[in-house]
Amino acid sequence: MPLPTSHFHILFALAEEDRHGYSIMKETEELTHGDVRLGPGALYVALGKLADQGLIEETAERPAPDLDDARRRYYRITDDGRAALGGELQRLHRVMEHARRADLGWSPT
Amino acid sequence: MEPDMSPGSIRRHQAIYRRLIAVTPRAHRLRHGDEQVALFGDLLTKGESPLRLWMRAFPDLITVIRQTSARLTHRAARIALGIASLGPIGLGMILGWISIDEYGDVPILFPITAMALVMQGVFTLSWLSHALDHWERNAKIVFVVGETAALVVGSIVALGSSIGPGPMIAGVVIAAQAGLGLVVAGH
Repeated sequence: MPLPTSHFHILFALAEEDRHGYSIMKETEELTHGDVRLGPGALYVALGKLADQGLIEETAERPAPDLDDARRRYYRITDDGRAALGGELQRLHRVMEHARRADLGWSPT
Repeated sequence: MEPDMSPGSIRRHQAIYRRLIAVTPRAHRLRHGDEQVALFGDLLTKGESPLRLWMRAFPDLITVIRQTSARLTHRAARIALGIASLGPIGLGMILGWISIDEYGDVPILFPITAMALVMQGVFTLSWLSHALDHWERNAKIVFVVGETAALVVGSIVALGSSIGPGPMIAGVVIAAQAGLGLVVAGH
């Protein structure tokens, strides 16, 4: 099953490094040039679902005390999460390949 | 970029936001409420326009309510289906016991029905507990086909039963469990 857009972008952001909510939100906006903007509520609903599915987990590791904010929770992608992200990227790659071959009057820039 | 907001002003915005998220389901609030409020404050601290943020906050909260409520309903339906699955298993075991106890005096339909009921219940519980996940999509197809068949057979027995209350009760249990199974599968 394709991943929901928000789940895909959250996994993508966490694949690079462990992040807190604000960092995930900003990374997603940057990656999509502002097309995907997760609100605080939608972000945490998605994080809760991904955690329940075992695709991400909360990490106990914290940054250096001078950079840390105790209110923040940090999340990390799990092996299952990486597999789900890989599967989704593979699916998108197949769609792109098909689009290239299908002569849709469009080409990736 | 908006002019920097004072910490006091940010706290006031956060306090209002915290009151607003009181409308979201309690389970979500307890799990993520503090983080959500902190993130709202972070966005203001980093220069997000308060007006733009508030305009986004309302549809965002509706999203939370819609998604978390649907989740809670789905979870409740799964629990109900798990409990309902004990019905066919229990009925199947009773029928199986009767078939063994009165071997030769009961129609062959009895042990067959008993086996089908136990299989229906056990298969549903296995599906709910993700024990069949390695079958991937096939597990759901088999589940839906099995529950549909059970719904049809259970309904026919329950509605058209002229052979006493026992089969009618069995038919109702089977149809109810199968109907609930299809609702959960279709969610």
